[in-house]
Amino acid sequence: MKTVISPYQTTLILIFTILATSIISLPSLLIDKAANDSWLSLIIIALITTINAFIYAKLGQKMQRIDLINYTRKIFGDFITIPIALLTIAVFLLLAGTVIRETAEVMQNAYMPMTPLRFFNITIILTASYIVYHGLEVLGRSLEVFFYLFLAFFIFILIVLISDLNLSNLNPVLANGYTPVLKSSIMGLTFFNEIFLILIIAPQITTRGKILRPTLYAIFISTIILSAIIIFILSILGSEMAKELSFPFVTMVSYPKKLMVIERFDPLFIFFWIAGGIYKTAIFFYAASYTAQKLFKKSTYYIFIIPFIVILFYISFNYFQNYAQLTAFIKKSTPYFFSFFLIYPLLLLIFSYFKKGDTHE
Amino acid sequence: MNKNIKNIFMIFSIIFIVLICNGCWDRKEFDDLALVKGIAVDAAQDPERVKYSVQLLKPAAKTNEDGKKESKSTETVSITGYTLFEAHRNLIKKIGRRPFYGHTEIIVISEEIAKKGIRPYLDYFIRDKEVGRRVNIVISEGDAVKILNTPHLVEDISAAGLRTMVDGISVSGIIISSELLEFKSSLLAKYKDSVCSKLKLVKPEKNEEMEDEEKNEIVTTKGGAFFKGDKLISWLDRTQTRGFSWVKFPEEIKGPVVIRAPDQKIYNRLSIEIKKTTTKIIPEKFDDNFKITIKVDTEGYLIENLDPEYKLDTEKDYIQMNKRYAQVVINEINNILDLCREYGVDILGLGEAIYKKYPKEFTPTVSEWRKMIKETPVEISVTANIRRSGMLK
Repeated sequence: MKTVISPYQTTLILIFTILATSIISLPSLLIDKAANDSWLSLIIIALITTINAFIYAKLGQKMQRIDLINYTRKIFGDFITIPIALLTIAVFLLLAGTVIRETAEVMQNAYMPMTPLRFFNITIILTASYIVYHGLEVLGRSLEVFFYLFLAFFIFILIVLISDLNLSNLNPVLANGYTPVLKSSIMGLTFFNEIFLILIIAPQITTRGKILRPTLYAIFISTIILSAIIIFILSILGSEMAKELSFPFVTMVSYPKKLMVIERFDPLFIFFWIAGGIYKTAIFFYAASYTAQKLFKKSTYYIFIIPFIVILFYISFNYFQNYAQLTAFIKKSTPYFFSFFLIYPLLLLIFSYFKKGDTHE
Repeated sequence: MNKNIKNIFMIFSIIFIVLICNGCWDRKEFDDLALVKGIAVDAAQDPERVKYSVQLLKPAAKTNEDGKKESKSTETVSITGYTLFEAHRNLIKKIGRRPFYGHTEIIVISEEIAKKGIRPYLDYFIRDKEVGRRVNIVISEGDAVKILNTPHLVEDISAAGLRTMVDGISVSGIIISSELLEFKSSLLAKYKDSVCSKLKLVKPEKNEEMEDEEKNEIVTTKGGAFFKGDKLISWLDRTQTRGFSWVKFPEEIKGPVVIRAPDQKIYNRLSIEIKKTTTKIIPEKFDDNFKITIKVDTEGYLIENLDPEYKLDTEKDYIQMNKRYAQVVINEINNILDLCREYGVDILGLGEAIYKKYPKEFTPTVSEWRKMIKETPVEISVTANIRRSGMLK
């Protein structure tokens, strides 16, 4: 089974890894503390992630054709690899579970209060597992179409909102100094650092080992889109109002004046939100399955799909009791996720220099 | 060929599925809904309760052969509850259908409720996503439900008529228009007090030909309501509202400025239609105090002249007229400033303007600022220009 994706598709996959759910969670997370300066903390997040990207790129160069788990095995040996790989699988499953829950929660909270949460969870997981079954190549190719649909939706919403823009709401800049900006940027790190995923798919990119460029492009495009959203939210609703709202972006989507016969723009958003959630789930689902395949040295990952569906359903349905727990989990887990995404590749990179002699023998 | 058939079959099945699977458990059948056009919130007799009224569209308003309506096309239903949501659910006792708020045009809140604090009553409408984010919100002088109940002069559905009236701000600038989300966010702003539209019942002027029974009350809108925090304080009159609009919604003022011609006769007034106005609030800091300059730049053209002997002929006439035009604007803005100082409210957002420019230096609490506004010097500078005088000189 040799699947290959182009750097362009890699960029799209990474953009969706960052954007799909952060489009709602990140603005409200940042505005909560940084208020008017949220766009600044977003830029700080992007800068920190860029440093990570360079580490990943260096590691990618070392890995060449070998995938992450086998490379770890080569550097650290079997004994350490097994717990690390299991941890990686757990991280991806947890991330996928929170993505599913978030997607379902927003749908239920904002649009379909009577529909049971289970129904959303099951449909998202099953669709995602169908994508995973077909593999990375299908994922990349379908994103090629879907990304432009998303972009069209996004630009359309911004254009209809332009007449309500009140840029003076962005003032004053840095009224409370840098502390809240930095604090809130720490909380939002997970969303961008999910580009750790590049290390999992690195050996399947046509330009093996050269992963810096797609990563940087993905960070750049996501930053632009997210900062546009944050600036629109702040300047249309004002930071005080945005703090009160559960999902400022959802409120903003239902805010435009009616355009000829079109009165509500929510269906466009629902389309993006559901599809984005499914893609992001599929990406993490795939990463978990692929890691498991390499850990257990199987030729395919198909046998992992069914057990993972069960685990994902448990995480997305039973793990959180309410939306507050979900956001609390996102906030609290950030340092752990970030240190995992940073320390693991960093150690691997450092030790790979020491082991250089061994590998050539 | 075979593949084509398969593709067509796929497309049709997708369309079919999309058409039948809409809404899952949340589908709303039109037959079960009662469409709400307007909402009124009043104080109930029991001080703990609220009186909640909705104006519903009647599904089968009959029309007879002459084209005249046999029955009203709307019906207003009132009910009480401890919270708005409880009252909403209690409505089922009277109407049997589930009220649907997607087409709500206006929310009328009574004076009595607004004086106690309006913010708690907005929560339900924003938390629930069914009510549009741009629904007009209005304070009524007197009972809110009476306003909804009074038939509108032109529109069949009075709630829709009320909305068009409140939206009339763009015609004259003596009406204040406020939308749900915008109003809520102005309530939340720190150094700024809010204003809201106002509706009022009036008796029509006496007319000899009319029978006594025909003298129904009609709804009018004039001026606005202003708040301190979230509590209604009082009403704005015509000139105060204009003064407010000059500062806050300069682009909305299209209405007439009426000025006197230079020679003092009785019928010598001139109307100016305003074309374009821009306003800037410029805060300045000197020593430890702040000073504010309100800079208005307005232009318009002469639309009516009641003085047959007076002509806008020479450049000198224009200069003279411009001066008078500017003076009218200054007077109107002064009106609103006096009101701000009298009640200690900052509806012009002067504090906010200072805070945006000097966030570090400007640190009074809100109540301190309300006292400070009485002493803060405000300078008004108006540049007025009459550009042209139409078909007549």
